[in-house]
Amino acid sequence: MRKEVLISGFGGQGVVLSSGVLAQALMYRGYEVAATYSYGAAARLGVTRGEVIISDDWIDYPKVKRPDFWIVMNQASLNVLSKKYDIEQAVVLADSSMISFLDPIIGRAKEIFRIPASDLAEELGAKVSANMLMLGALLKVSGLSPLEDLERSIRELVKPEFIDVDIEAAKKGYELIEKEYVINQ
Amino acid sequence: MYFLASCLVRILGRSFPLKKEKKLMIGYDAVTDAAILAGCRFFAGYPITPATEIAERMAEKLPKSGGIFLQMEDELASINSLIGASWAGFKAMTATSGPGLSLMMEGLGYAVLSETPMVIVDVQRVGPSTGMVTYPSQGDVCQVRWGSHGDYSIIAIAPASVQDSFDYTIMAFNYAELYRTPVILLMDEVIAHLREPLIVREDVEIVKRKRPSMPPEEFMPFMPKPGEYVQREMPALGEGYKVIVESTMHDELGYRESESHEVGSRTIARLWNKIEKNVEKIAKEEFYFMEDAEIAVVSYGCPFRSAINAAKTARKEGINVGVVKMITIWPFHDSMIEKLAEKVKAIVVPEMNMSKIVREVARAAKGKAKVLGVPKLAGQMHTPEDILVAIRSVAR
Repeated sequence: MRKEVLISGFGGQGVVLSSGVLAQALMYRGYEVAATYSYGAAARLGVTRGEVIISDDWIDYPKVKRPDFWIVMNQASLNVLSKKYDIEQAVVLADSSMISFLDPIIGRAKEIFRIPASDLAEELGAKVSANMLMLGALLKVSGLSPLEDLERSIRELVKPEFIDVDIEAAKKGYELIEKEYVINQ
Repeated sequence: MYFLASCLVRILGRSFPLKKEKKLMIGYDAVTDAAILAGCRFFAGYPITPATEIAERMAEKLPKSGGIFLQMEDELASINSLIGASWAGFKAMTATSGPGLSLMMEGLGYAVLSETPMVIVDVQRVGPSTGMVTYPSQGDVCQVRWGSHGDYSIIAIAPASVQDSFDYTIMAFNYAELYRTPVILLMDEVIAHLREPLIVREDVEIVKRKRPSMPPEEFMPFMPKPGEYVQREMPALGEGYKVIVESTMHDELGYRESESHEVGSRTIARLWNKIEKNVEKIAKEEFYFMEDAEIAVVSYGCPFRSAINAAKTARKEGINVGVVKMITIWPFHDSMIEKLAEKVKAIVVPEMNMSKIVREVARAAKGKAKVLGVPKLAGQMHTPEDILVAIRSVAR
């Protein structure tokens, strides 16, 4: 088993952090994990990419070849990366607060979930928790790991002042995806 | 600097109680944890993407371990302060990337000639010049070997995982002491920013700084024992020994000898030989699927991982491919490559540069196997497919 998760957005949305949090949560489950990230020269904006590989065996190539899951947090990274990757087998979780134009992936991705993550996170008190809301949703959709693992990982890796709101956001993502925000292509 | 360093308490090779545990760690954290475990108590550096995180972590961790962290005004000062700290008895490290490494080249030569142990971490990014600051590369592999002027040899080690980053940092510190030389840990951005499970080993061997065994009036800091190339014993400032650290050619006592062809010849030859004549002891590599291999992929750093993936696929296609992971790049292990070339019909060398180490491989293979470089430029890690294409082309 090898599963590939791609996370993309702009610098400042917590893409790098969320790739680490996800990898750690999945390691608790006993998976082999490898997470890398790449970013541009700018501290804010630009396209930032996190890549998390999950496997039963030692992971040789630590980068995404064909994503199984893609959390996409902004329009620019959707436009750029949809051209770079074969997304035929990808389940896409798109932050619809930030993305209005899904045409580049409609009809190509296996499945698309539109989740207004940034708006929902803002309602919870911190727009930057949108990344954790998406991770909650990912765990629900993928069945890779229960929510407790994510909570534990957040407690270990996130700055103290964001732990509570991040956990709340993760729970919201986990619960909501079954309810009103599921819109398949 | 010398004064400051010599005034502070030295804590060298302190052993840590270690539990064997698996934890998710990022490459640069593995380097800093291993450095402190290896006895590093002095770090001086100047921030540069993508090596800044190492300085940040050292700033946080070193003082808690009784060490000193200094942010210097530039890379020239950084490497020179390492020379001072090392002669004050500290195990010392710096971390930089391409442009900073270029600035350190003069200081590197100083450390070579003054036989000063130190570890320089180079997190390689795309050059030339400022280049592509956040993207990985292996463009500095030849610079670390040949970049400073004059004749010398050096040790360079390339990690290909987070576990390697931990283990090889300790190796780098040990080699620095064993051969009294600067050692370069040649990382690339992919490995520095990779998160992976790390097993903190209990059985780490740490080489401590060797103190002079003779009284000050008899001790010669640059005089190896008969039949050896390295004087392992090294005094520290303030212990009563003469500490003459001279960047001009010097004799075995450290006294300047800038006009003696005889002293110069013998010193230069010894600096070269202490690395090159010990190549069989220094050089390390790992072999994967080599038993029945007809084609070998010789790799180092992150392309090794793509090579393993490519070899697995090639084997499914019926091509018997093995992979060699070069742990040390310098000194170059000619005899290993020659033996390999006698066994396989072709050697593929993927590198994230225009093809540099492939020239060394071709030289050492002495025409006994076909050698093919697979360059990958501008901050891209080889995909397994990139290497597979090369494997298929030589398999025909």
